[in-house]
Amino acid sequence: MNLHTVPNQHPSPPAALRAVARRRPGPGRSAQGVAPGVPAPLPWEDPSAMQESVMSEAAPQQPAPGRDPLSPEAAAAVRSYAGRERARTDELAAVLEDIAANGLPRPEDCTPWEELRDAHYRRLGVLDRDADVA
Amino acid sequence: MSPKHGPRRARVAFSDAAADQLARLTIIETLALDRAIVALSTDPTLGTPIPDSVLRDYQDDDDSIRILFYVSALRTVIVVAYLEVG
Repeated sequence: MNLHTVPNQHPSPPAALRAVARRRPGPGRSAQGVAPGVPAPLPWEDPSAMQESVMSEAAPQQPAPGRDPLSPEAAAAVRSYAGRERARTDELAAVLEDIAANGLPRPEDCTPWEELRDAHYRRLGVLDRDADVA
Repeated sequence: MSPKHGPRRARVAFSDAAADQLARLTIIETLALDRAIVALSTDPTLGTPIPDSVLRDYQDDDDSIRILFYVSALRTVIVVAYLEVG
């Protein structure tokens, strides 16, 4: 396809539409009281509305060419998963960086697993005081 | 007389950072971690080496567990430096 023939995604509005848009509330003004049936401010007339659509995580996004859009809920779930993975990776990287900078933890300075595990089970209330697992 | 225990297991010890991570685990997660540690203690060659270091990266996909560890010079202690469960 010749790229020069692809129509602009956001063509300049016709003069009549611009005139309608100018009569509607501008940025920072309430749209309440506008007669029913009047559409929301047009993006090209309302910079704040356009910014919101870009910045807000809940706003439905325009699908990129060749992509299938997600629902807002699915997009939020994917972002949440990304955040958890990022936090997990950051924690692992921090441990590796600490080892690289300061060296390996010495075995004699570490705590035996059985001791930690049993103390943890006691904290969780699944092991009697003075008891151990095995 | 048959031996009472199986192959000798290495002791497992946690760094302070790994101990802090353990404190956040649920009962189920701790049980899963315990299984992974038993496996590691019987075979410290599990996991893949982090190139040019003594560290190894063990991942058990069944239990969604990841353990970063190294084996002490005398091969008697497995030091856990980092863990992930779930």
